Amino acid sequence: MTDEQLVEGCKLQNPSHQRKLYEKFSRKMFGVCLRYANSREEAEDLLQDSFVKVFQHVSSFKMEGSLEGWVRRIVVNTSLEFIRKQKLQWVNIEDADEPAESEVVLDHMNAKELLMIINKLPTGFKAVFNLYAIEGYNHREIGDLLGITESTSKSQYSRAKAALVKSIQEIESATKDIVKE
Amino acid sequence: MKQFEEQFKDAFDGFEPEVDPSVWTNVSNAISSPASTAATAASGSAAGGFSAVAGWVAAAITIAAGVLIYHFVSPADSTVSKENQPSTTISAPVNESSNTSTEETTTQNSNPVAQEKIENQFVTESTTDLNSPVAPVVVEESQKVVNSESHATTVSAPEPAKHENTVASKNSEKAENSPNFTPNPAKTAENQVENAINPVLIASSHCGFAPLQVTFMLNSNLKTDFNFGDGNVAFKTNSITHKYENSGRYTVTCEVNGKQLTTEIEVLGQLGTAFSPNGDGINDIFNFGGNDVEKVDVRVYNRYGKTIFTGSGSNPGWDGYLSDGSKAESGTYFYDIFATSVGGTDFKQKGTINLFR
Repeated sequence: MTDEQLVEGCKLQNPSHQRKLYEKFSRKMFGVCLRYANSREEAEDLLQDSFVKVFQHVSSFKMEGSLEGWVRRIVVNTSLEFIRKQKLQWVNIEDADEPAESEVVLDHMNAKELLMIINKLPTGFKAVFNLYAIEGYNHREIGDLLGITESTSKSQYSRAKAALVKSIQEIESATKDIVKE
Repeated sequence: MKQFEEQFKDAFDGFEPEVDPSVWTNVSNAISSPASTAATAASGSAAGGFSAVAGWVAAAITIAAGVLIYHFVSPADSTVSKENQPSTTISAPVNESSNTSTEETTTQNSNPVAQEKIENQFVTESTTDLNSPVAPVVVEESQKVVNSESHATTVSAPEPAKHENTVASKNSEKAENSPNFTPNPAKTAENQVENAINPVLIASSHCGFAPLQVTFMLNSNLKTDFNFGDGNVAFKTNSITHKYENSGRYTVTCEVNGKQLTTEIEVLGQLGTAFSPNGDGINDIFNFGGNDVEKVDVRVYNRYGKTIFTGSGSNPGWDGYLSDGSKAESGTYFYDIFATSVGGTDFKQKGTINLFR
């Protein structure tokens, strides 16, 4: 079934089309939610809210962009709404130190392990990191999305990145020690 | 070496963790409840889709109905009444066309869900996003596209005279013949071009118990021949309703602009139509499942729309008793089914049961 057929069916509220659309994207979008949420339960809530929105607003989708991109935007926006509600304290650090370009290689780390590392970050860091590194927004856009300034976004990002690099290096050195022994 | 960010991005690219099934259950419940879908009608106004148009119509008719009530409540205020006169006339033919008097409309208000359920399946599917009292008025039977478009005319046409014309021509073949038929003609023209380039065959249902009535239509205004896959065909039409009498899997085909469009219809073994819960051991229970379904949720209600039985499972059965332990009397009862076929297709269906004692 093509995306066009899926969308048309969902516009008519055909339950089997709705189910198919959900099945097509739910797992990938759950991956997105997990990166923003603090727990699996929170991620499930975000996914649920997102798909309800998808089905409620599908009539406004006109096949101008990719369906997946549209669904993903809804998921990210729903996650950000949730984050904004938490009233995060943004610590603005002037001229945050750009971490030295790290020697980190992630090749042997899978998404689950990376997710664990990302999830150790405070919610605000996590959101900025997700938006910049994975969703590909720039700092000005992130500032608009989260209601912070561009420079706050930048400084949050470099701190998030530094924290991530540190965790990864720790894990790597630990693994090396094990391999040596 | 790849950038740090890029490495992260790649790592998450194919990340598709398993989702707990409860999420779908919740989503499914949320989108099938009338409250949330009413919100859709309101929020969908930016769209060019059916529901948006239907939403407009719903809003327009609701206002008309409101005016009607107001008209009754304050007959003394002649100025207002006069001003509102045209609107009142508009609502009258709409109501007539669906065989509902004003009084009946009021009844619907008091029991919107039941009324909505009594409508046939296709109507329910296509109009759940409307305020339910209005829903039965808006779309009738198979000519969905035609109807929604001509109703859009109702919304945009400025003079009452035109409204009546449009309503009268509701069942006419070609809605595109009526002038100025949407609030945004430019957008619709655009859509038509899009549709012509990319035709899609839509079915009102892909699965259900025999006899199954399915409405097929093209998203474009083009007409073509339909082959229903059960030996029957229809010629030169944009939308058509066909009844499948026997169980089986059917492939429906049609060709638009040299492009072959197909869709699959799964017809399941027939449910009964009557039962006699008199304790003689014969036909005492009415079953709503069968070999072809994995799971069925069913709701049975009486002619007043009151739910008298709900069941779920692979083959739920009703023994003809009410929840207070008394026997349901002889007569006709209605049911709504929400089921999953063994092939994994979800479907909704409704029907009637005759109870004999």
